[in-house]
Amino acid sequence: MRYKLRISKELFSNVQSRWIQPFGLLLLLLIILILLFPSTAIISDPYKIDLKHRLLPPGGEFPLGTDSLGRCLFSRTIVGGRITVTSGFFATSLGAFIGTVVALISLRAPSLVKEPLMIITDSWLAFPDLLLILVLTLILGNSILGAILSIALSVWPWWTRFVRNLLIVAYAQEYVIASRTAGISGFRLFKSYILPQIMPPIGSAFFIRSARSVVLFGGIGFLGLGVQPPTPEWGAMIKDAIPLIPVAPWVIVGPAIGFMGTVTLFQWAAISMRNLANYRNYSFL
Amino acid sequence: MIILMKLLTVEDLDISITLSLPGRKILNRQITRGISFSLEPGQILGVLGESGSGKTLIALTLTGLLGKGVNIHRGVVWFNGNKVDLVKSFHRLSSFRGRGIFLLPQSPAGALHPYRSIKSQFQEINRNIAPEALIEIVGIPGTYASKVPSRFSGGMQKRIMLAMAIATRPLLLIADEPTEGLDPVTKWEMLRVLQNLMRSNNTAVLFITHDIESLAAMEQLVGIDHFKVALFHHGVMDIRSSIRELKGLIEINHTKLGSSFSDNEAQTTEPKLCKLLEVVSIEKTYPETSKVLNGISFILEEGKHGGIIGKSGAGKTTLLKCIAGVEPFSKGSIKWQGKNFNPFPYRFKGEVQLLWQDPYVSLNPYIPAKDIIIEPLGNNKDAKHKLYKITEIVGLEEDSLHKYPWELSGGQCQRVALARALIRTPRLLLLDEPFSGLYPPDRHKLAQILRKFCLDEGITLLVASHNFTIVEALTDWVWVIEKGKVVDQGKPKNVFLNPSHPETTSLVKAAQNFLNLFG
Amino acid sequence: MKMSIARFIYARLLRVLLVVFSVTLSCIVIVTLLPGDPGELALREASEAVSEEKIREIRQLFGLEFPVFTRSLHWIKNILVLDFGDSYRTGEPVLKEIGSRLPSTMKLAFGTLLWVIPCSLFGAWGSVKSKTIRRIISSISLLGLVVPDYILGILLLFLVSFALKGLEKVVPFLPYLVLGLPIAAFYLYVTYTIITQALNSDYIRFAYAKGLSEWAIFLRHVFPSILPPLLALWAMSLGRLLSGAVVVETVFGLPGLGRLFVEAVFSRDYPVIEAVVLWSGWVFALLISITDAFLYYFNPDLMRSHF
Repeated sequence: MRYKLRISKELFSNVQSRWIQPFGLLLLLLIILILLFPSTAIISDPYKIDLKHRLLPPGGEFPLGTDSLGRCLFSRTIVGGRITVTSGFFATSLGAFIGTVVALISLRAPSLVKEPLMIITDSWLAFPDLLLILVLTLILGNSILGAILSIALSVWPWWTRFVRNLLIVAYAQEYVIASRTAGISGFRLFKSYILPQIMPPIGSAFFIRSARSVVLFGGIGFLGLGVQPPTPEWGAMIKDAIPLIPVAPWVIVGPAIGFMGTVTLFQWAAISMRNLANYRNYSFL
Repeated sequence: MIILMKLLTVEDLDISITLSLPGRKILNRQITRGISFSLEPGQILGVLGESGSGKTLIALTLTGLLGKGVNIHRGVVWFNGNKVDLVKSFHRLSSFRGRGIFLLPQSPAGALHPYRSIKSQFQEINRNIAPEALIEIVGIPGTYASKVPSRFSGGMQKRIMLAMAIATRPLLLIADEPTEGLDPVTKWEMLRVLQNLMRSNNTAVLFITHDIESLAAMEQLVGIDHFKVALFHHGVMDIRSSIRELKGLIEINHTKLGSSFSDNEAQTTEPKLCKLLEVVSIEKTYPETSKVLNGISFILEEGKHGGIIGKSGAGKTTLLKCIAGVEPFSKGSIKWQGKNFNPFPYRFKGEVQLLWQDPYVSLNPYIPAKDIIIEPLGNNKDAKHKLYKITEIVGLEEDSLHKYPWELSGGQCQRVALARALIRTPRLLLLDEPFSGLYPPDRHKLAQILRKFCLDEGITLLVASHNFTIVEALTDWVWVIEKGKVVDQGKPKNVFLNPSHPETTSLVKAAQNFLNLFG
Repeated sequence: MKMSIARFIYARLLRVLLVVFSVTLSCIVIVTLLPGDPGELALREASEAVSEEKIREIRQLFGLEFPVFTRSLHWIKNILVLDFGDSYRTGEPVLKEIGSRLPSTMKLAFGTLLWVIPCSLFGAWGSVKSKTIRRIISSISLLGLVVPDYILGILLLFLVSFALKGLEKVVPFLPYLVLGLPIAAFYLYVTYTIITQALNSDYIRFAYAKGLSEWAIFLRHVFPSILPPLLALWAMSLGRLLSGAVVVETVFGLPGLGRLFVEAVFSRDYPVIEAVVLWSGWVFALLISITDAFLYYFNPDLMRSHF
């Protein structure tokens, strides 16, 4: 019997649905953040100081209570989250992106470009963090954007080294060699052959480093550096909340849960990368 | 009491596999319909079947190595007195692995660890044996024990795996295509080693294959008392006690070498004297092994297909890889269409295609077969149409197209790889053991179809194979290689009927010995 | 890519030297970019009166009046005879300053990785095999990720010294724990993913078919395949740790390179800064070269990787 072959353009082949889970989680996270942009989720103005309502416990108009200046903690948590989480996330993303691009160039470029590039990368990598970030912050300014850029630019050589090793292993696979003989090259090769191999490790590393980046930003805020009040930021909020624990223990809840929740979400995303990696699903393992 | 004497009894085994197709369709295909068979110690059961029929799944079931998507509906296995109900306690089979049951998988390159030395891979199994002695038994020099498997040819890797099997002294050896892709001389050696193992250790062998010749040889070697053969077709096993009884059921090609296919000569193409490929004195040494190519020279003309014959390990695969641009060579040169050209690395860009010996390792495990095949076309609007045409030629069924390479049988993988190589109609197609995974009756058909296709599309073939009937069917000129040098050449008919060089003679004699088994 | 071993080593060495060279050169340039004058800061430190001419005097003393180019040349010349100069801040020879901190830093660095690497490897392997182990380990590593190291350090010290008396024996181990926990948490997840990927290969199935124990399969089959990316990560972590860990050193009062470096940066102590950067450059360059070489030794097939 002859069948009429129909190559449908459906997206739900096995591979693609495997990609949905980890990126689905990420998407969820981003959606949560994007929902915050139109300030509909914010009940009251996070900046409004209302000394009559200071240190109110959760309830009614203020779902998480108010802080020592009468500002709604719920709104501050959400807005602060937007700042803390997106800063951390985008700093890592940018760094990972630059690092991966450089890794690719370092493998495919002619020798004249490759060698100096790797030497620059290694030198950048060897530079102690403190000095690097200090100098970068000087050049790029003290704003949130400056902070994000500084972190990204201090972190990219790490990604280059990591991704480079992954790429070397990926290109050495026998089936990659076979397909190159068949005439497949360039971007197509990268998309179908290399990417599925390098995505799981890069993905899990990326999510965990994003989580740490978020915590790092929080840490900077905790120390009183970085974003200045009245802009809400989780780290700074925790710092303010600690002395208030005996008096108003609910103040710390918002940002604390924020941190834990974000890190847990990133952790889930990192673990779910194994669905991408596990294409054969052996049951005897 | 009778059951206790038998080493292995499989009762009412019912397996099916579940396929998920695009469009969320689920397809359930029955693999075996309640088959039963048994084996006594020192006995061999040959399981003969078409590629894709599910023979390998039986092997995997018995070792407990099944993946997702395979469902066992019923089945009981008795091994060495232990009863295992496959539905309830499937995992119990894992305790027999390596201790009583040994599996020889079909794909050698995928089975041996690529970077660890052979010695260490042996010593994992059994610290007390000397790997050097064992690999000598299978015909590989003992000094190779410290080398790394990735440097060896497919045939050598298969032999190493057989040596590993011997090292464990198994009660039951499940061999999945153990002689696939071996030259006739090596095949005889392997089969004798197997027979020796059966005799000295009373090992029972489950010989799963589509190579009727090997089974016939085994029948002769072990004697009819210890021999059984089953034809596995459409999920049912038809067990007989001799190959002869199968004559009516399947075609057996027992033509004599050198006698067939005079239509080769009938197809006088216009004398195209375009020198497509000229190989001049190529030498190549792999760092870990000795010189693989030792000054090979030949000329391939466009339109005249060439064949390369030689024992396993002679350098055929390496030669093809050098021509295709996959490996660099240290000395010599290659001329493409008259001009000096170094194809390394990958500079042919699809004009010259190479079909790998082991199809499993050459296919991307992340994408389904149909994507693999149409990939070389890029974003061609014609892709659908070409895919249809090619899969017809190559003989691939539709549901194979949606499967991933690791879900396909060896033969199906070979067809997929062939389809991928053909879809861009290259000028030169290099085939490394192209039909070794296919059922013999299919081979001949495919060879004819391929020849016609190449004639129509203007593709020149260079085939490296051990199957001399195929070489005869496909090629116009044959080169014989021994230890990296061309030692003999000529028209296939002449080479096979009147071999002049001792190497050729031994190969041809061994091949003829196989064919005589049916005569 | 056929290189004889000699050429290979030669190329590596050259690369190491070039990296070190560029690191230190850029350091010298960058350091001058920092605002704040070492002379002025030194005076303030010594609580002396600050005046224009005094600053200039000190600058002359430090040799800062020369342009960057000349200073670089001096620096290189001096290094070749292992003269790193004296610290602006303390006046002690830089070599002595750094030398006194090195043992502690190296102990910390190697000690941390000594437990982090095996822990993450076996933890990841266990997580792959069993869901329960994965859950347990995830919860522990959550702790390592959420809490920044200084808070964790202070918290633990607080707990041990005040709340849970009798656990004093634990205190010397705490710095390694605090330093290593976030690193271990990270490695755990990445190793977990990489192991899962490696287990999908054919030869793993054959290894199971041979009847090998889980242990043997992990050590001999899985481990060599997962090395390449992990080796790079471990090398980079080691390099980072060997350049100092200021937070842990501060919390636990350890004399390490991190604290020295921070103090040097804040007081614009150029010789110390440059020397530490030089040290860091060497460490990284050597580590990367060694791990690259190891890569190819373990997996000779990688040499045929072409792009």
